[in-house]
Parts: sequence; C-alpha cells; structure tokens
Amino acid sequence: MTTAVAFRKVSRHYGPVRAVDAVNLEVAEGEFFAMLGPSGSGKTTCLRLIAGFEKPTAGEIEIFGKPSATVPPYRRPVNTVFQDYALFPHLNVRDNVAYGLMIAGMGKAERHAAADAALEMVAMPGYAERKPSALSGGQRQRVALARALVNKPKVLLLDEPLGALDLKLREQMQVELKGLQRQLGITFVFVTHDQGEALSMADRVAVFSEGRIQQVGRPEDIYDRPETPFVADFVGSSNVLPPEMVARLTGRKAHASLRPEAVHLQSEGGLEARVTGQAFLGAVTRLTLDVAGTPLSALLQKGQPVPATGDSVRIGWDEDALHLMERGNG
Amino acid sequence: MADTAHSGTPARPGPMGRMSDLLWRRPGLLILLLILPPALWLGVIYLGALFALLAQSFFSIDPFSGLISYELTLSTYGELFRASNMDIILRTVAMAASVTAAAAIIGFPVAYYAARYARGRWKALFYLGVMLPLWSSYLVKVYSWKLILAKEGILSWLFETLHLTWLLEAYLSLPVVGGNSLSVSWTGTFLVFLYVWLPFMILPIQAALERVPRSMLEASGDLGARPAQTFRHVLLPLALPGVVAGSIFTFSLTLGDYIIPQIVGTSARMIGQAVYQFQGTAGNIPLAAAFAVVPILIMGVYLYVARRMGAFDAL
Repeated sequence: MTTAVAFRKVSRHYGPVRAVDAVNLEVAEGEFFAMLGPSGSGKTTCLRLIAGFEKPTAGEIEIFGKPSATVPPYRRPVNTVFQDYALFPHLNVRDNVAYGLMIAGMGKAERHAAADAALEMVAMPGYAERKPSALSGGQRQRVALARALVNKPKVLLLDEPLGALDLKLREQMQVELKGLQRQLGITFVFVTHDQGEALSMADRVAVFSEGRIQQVGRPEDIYDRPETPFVADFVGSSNVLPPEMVARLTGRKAHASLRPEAVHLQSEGGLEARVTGQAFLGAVTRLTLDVAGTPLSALLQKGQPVPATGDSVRIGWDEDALHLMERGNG
Repeated sequence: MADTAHSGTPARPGPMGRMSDLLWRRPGLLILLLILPPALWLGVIYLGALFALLAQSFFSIDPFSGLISYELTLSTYGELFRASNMDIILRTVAMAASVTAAAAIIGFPVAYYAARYARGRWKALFYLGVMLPLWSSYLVKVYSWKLILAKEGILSWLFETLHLTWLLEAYLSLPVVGGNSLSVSWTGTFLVFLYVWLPFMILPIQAALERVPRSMLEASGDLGARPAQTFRHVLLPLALPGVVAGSIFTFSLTLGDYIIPQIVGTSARMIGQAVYQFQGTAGNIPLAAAFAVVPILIMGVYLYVARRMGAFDAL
C-alpha cells in the first residue's frame, strides 16, 4: 500500500510553545484518516503542515514519497476544506468551485461544466448563480467540499468541516462524506475534536494531546484498548482507574480503563459504591459513583431501576472489560 | 402617577426621570432627537448651499454691465467648453487621475503590510506614521515642500551632492512635467498632492484588507494560485472597495484644491483656482458655480463606472 502522507519526527514550535512535537505518522493512500484531539492539541497545525501553510520547525513531511519542505502550497497535490469554508465572497458559487480549474488554465465552458458536475455530486445543483452570502452554513460547507474535490486532489484535508453545523445536519454530512470518500477513493485527512465523529467515519484515528500523538489505530482499538489514560478519558469518557486500585483488583500496578457501559449493578459481590448523581441521556442513564474515593460512571439501560443519590450499591463488570494501560501517562 | 399600580417600582421622580421613561417607551423619539441636529445641519446648511451653488450656475453674467442676470440659461455651461476653460478642466482631471493612481500604487503595499503583518507596537507606529502628517497644518506642509523642491532647495542640493545635477536638469528640460525648477513644475504639484492626500488612500485600503480573512488567501493558494494570481483574483477584488473609497478622497480633493497649485506649480490654473478667481476678482459667480459643478459631475460618473465594473461587489 502506498503511503500518501508521512510525518518523520515533525515538530512545529511557536517560541516556547510546542504545537507539534516530534510527530511520526503515516497515512495510507485511499484511507479515511482522522486526527482527533482537544483544541490546542496540535491536530490543526498538522493539517496546515500538510497543506503547506506552516513550515515544520524540524523533521520532514513526505507527500506520496516526495519531501515537501521546499514545495509551496500551490504546488501540492492536496486541497483543503477550511473550518470557516473560506469561500470567495465576490464570486458566485460556480466561479468559487471553478476557481482551481480557472487557475490551472482550463477554458470557461469546460470548467463551468466541471463545476456544475461537482455541485451535483454534493447535492447542490441549482445554486451555481448564488453568492456565498446567500447560502446557509450547511450549503457553504457543501460548496467548499465541491471546490476542493473538483481539482481531483490526491489528498483532501478537512479542518473541522462539520463543526459549525447543527447536530442533525452534522450526522447527515458524516454519512455523505464517508460515502463520497468510498466512491472517489481519495485519501481524506479529517481533523475533529468530536470523538464520535472520528470513530464513526475514520478507517484509522490518531489521538492528539499537547502536540504529541497518544495513539494511532482503528476506531475499535482506540475505543476498546486505549493505550494511555488520556485516550481512555477523551475517547468516549472511559473510567480511568488509578494504579493502586488496579493493583488491588488484578495484582498489577498500572492505569486501567473501564467502559461505563460495561459496569453493571449487582446484588452481591463486586465492589461497594455510593451513588453521587444521575443524568438521563435518553436511551441510557448515566450513573456517577464513588468507589472508595475513585469517581466512576456507569451506563444503565432504559428500564433498569435507577438508584437514588446517596444509595449504596454493589457494582461489577465483565472480566475482559478492564483494560490495562501499561504505557502509563503518555 | 396612577399607573404606578401596574409597575413593580414607583415612577422615577422629577422631569429627568419622566423624560427617561418617555424615551424608553418611545425609542423612535430618541432616534429623532439624536438625528435632528445633524440632519438640519446637513440638509439645510450643506445641501442648501450646494443647491444655491447649483442654481447660480444656471444664471449668466451680463457682458456689458458685469451684473448677474437672473434668467435661467445654459450659456454659462456653454462657456465651460471654450478652449481655455476646457484646458483647465482636462488639466485638473489628468492631475487628479495621476495623483490617485500613484497614491493607490504607493499606498497598497503600505496598507497591506499594516493589515497583514504589523502587530502591537508596529501597528501603533504605522498609524502614527500615516496620521502624523495630518496633524500639522496643511499650509505648513505645502510651504515646506516648496522649500524642498525650490531651485536652491534640499532636493537640488541632494542631486548636486550626488553629482547627479545633470539628471535633474535633464528631467526639468522635459516638456509638460519639467520647468524652471521642481517647485514651479507639474511634477512639483503632483508630488505635493501625492504627499498630502496619501493617508486618505492608505487608511481605507488598510480597513478593507483587515476584513479579508487569512484563510481566504490560503484557500486561493491551496487551489493552486501563485501569490501573484491570488493578488489578482482574490486580494485585489476584495480590497477594491477600499481602493475606490480612497480614490474618492484623493480624486475629489485634488479636483477641488486651489492652494497647492498656487504655491507649488506652474501658472496654468486648475479648477479650484478658476473657481476662486471667478467668484473673487472676476466677480463671475455663475461661471464659478458652473466650474464648481464639474468635479461633482466627474465624481458622479466615476462612482457610476466603478459600480458598473463591480468595485462594490465584495461589500
């Protein structure tokens, strides 16, 4: 499999701030790759490094095997969907989409036909004559997508493209983006702070924290077998058990993650816990518990009795639900 | 009063309190009070004066008595088309156009730097540098330029020191732009105009460029445009309203000015000087008025053309 984008010990420092710190990364061709992390974790800087808007302080980025240090953004085989969409306000939708082709020297009739086809692909036919200011956020997002895809990039970079959309639209676009990526076979590099988005769309996910990659892997691996407490906590708000407690339970001293949905109430055995609160989430109810000073949360399926705050309960979990994280604090 | 029973707190005492309550209930009244004085000033005094001027231009002067004949006629406007008067108009428009073009060319990079790169202290320094000339008297600036450009002035001394006097001489011997010295040439007039109006070009361009998000330029580059292409297809169209706003200042200020060409320049007159002389020494108020209408018409045409060419599309 060809490597589309490779980071080799790439750092980007702003004065004393290490936005990206010695990152190694390989994105395969045709892959839907998500960079996940909280704001300020370095994921967007990584995307900007691929696009060429930023230069690495150290290290090398290769795009399809070619070192990119001296390649300006306008010569890179990548296109970006910007967080604020960055549509040109003085051009109508068709000319926005055809911009890259116009720059490449394509004739007017030809590039307009290509732009209209791209608008059709993102389900926006009939909007070609409008100005971006006359579109809704979701429509702008589609135009921005068409404007990038019409150039047939080898890698499409998406910087939190769904961040400004409301929930329903976001879920719809997640499905469409995934379908589009399958259909076109283009490598997608997708930046998001929404773990649900990353897990549901990506083939592989890189979890970022403080300029470093905490873990790279398939969504199931990241979710079920987090390697660091940060990943366990950030991806799906897993319970992180302290080493002392894990030592008492298993005899091995390490952090461990425990999925809230794996925790269940039982009448005897297990651990004693005190209920500190409940939150109704629709299909499930989240119970917050206190186990000898360690906070823990459990998800109760609808229909189960919900204990009151202050109640004493006994909890247990399936044997394999407890996942030890030998890598420590990352 | 009686309706205190309805509200939680009693009505505020005194006329001021009642006034506040009234304005709160009728926000339209507050806007009216705020807008009335400037509207009166602008509407009656400014527009009224302009209208009086316009009306004057449709009168004519009796060639024998020298008295104004208050009959509506277009003959005064006809006089504008006499060769000597046409010269004045064309000369002024050419000067205004070249000053505007030069100000845009010089002003754009300055404004671009200030909008995109200058931060904190450098930005303050930029504003100071651009605004500082506006703080000193206009006359002082013009006279100091006369000293710079005069035959025995700073500039000719500089050329002499650099052993380049021959270059200055060669330039001054050119037709139209040359003259006896820079201070009595069109070049001198041009330089002073350029200096005095430049801030009026830089500031609107800078304001327009500030509103262009960085991602817009990155997007253009991302889509394959070289920096020159980004400038031509994205930055310039988005900055154009600012350039047009600036050019309205430089163009109209040059069209109407009568002091700079009088102090620095040739004896050939510009529109402002013609107006000044016709309404003063010559006592030909109608012709002065007709001359004064010319810049207004030119600006109207200019704005119309700018709009048709899409200069305001990005607004």
